[in-house]
Amino acid sequence: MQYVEKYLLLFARVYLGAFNLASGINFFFHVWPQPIPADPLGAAYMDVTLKLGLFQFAKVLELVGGFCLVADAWVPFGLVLLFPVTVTIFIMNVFFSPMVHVVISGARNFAFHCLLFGGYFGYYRGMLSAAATPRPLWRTLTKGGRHG
Amino acid sequence: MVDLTSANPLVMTHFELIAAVTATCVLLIAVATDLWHAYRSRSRRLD
Repeated sequence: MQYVEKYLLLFARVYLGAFNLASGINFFFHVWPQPIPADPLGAAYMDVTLKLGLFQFAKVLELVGGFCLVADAWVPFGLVLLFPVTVTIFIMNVFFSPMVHVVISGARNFAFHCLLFGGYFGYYRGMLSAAATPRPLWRTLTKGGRHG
Repeated sequence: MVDLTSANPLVMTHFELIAAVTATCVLLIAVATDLWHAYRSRSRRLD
């Protein structure tokens, strides 16, 4: 059973990472034409985000997050970086795209992302502290500053 | 700037293909490595 879990998480991690990395590389190096949403609302959204620079920023997140996942380095951080992108694509693809393969792609990436969050949950447990007191960066970095 | 006049959502399948092939190859390598280690440790026990 542990092997199934290990292989499932490995497959989901590399799949999600490679997908985002390929998408990020494609945007900056123009390997193929940039995919454009087939629905008018999606195309308008893409146009606005491109003009605001948010689309380009999302592609940087895809590059960095995708690399983390493929390289198996800083995976919990990579998952957090990629989550806004995955949620946006999930909403655009699943609820607005008229194309079945695009709907499946958005839904599958979101499912893989949730699975990976579950698989790496131990790293996020600290974030769920109900009564969190400040633990400033500048104090945790100093020697012996790790308390409370 | 990207030309928004032409929809080309089929490029998505290229990303899918890259992701699927990469993930499958890494998975196969991981399975093969685990099997190899299991075989090695078993043959060491038998020796």
